[in-house]
Amino acid sequence: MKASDLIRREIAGVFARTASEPIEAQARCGPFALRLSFASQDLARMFLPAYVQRAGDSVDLDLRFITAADHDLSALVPEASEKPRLLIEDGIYSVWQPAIIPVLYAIDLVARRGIAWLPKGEAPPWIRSRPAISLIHALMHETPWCAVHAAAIGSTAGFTLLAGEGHSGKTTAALACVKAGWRYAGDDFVAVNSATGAIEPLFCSARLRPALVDAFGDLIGDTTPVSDFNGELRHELSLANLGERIGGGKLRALFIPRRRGATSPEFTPAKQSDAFRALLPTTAYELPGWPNRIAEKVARIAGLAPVFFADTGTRPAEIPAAFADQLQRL
Amino acid sequence: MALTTTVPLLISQQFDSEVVLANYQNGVYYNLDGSAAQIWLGLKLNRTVEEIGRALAAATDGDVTSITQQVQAFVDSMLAEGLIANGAADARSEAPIETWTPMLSGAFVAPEFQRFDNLRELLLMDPVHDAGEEGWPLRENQEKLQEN
Repeated sequence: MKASDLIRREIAGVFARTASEPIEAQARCGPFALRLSFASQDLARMFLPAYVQRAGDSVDLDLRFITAADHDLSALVPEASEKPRLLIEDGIYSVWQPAIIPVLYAIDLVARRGIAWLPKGEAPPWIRSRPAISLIHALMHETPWCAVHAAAIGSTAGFTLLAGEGHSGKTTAALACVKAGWRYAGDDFVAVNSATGAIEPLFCSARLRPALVDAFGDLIGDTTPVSDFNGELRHELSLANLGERIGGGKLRALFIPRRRGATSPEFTPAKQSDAFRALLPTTAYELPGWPNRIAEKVARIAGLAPVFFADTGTRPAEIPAAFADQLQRL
Repeated sequence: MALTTTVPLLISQQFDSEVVLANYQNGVYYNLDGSAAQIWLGLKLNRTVEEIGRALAAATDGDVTSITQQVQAFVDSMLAEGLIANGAADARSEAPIETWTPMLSGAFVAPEFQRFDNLRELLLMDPVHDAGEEGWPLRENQEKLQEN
């Protein structure tokens, strides 16, 4: 039996064994409508806060979160299980991420059914903040949509993508704009249509470093968990209470945050290739499979709007007005 | 030995007269501009070092011998960096050689690439990215179960 046939059979088995799971919800994830099912309250508590919960009639993906205690899928764990694996074969896309806390993702792209299987019943914090993103990536493959590593916020002047590596200031700028009343599409990964420039949120999560707590403490709820992975602390925020302000819009500009010592925000024109280099690395490395297709989409996105380097300065409160002014000039 | 710009795990994108290369294996990015980008594009069209040297010399009114030597040196450095490889050449363009004109103006400037490896450490530490495309080998006992 081919591995893809085995995975397809096991996915069907998960859905056949129980008509429904104890916790169900509907969510929007980029352009897709998801029906989410969780085998336990613990799993729902772990993942549901990251999703933009919206009711809808259609379902693009039926996605179940399960553990080894719910379904024995050990037959799917590949030989040499300490190695990460990717399978794209006959309508099946599957990723095995062993690491310290293993996770198996698999999707039957024809049946539009997916599973996130947690053998140890838990998941690393970065997976909780963007659950099953690789399956959304697989759903996007035949479309112009692409999940890109960027923050995205919008005002009446349009949306801007903030693209750059970790610690470049994406989260600071995005949350400063959220506090000023802007719309929010994400601080880590967002969905962008590479043909039209439409932006949609994938998740309503944000990961806050302790150094940012003073500036954005009011976004931290009483029950916001703090993750500690290898000593790296993060407040795992859910911004679901922003309600309709969680949403997307049309890309108007690409900002590449970088620190160059300015106190107030400053903008410098940049090139399409700069945006490509800022967007591609983490996008491609976090989304297994089809690297050339990802690069093509990201290159197109980088050419959809003017690009600027943005030194966001030392006073986050000044960022929204500076961003709005820059967007209005375009 | 023929040269190819098709290298496993190396992604290329052209932006006007600029080429960005991304090595997915080690997380290093390269920017090729000016004559460097034109040399890479010439190789992509399966032009020889000599053909590229002559075309660049014609576009810049430069000395063919000197420019061809610089092209050869740059090709050697790209080979060493893994940006091109020896092997089966890329499919030669059907267009006649005269129609390939490098997009260069002014005096010839020696080719060089910019190397960006600031993301390398971050990417190599990342626990998610390295799901290799090596298929999904079923475990031996699993395959036996399937056969029965």
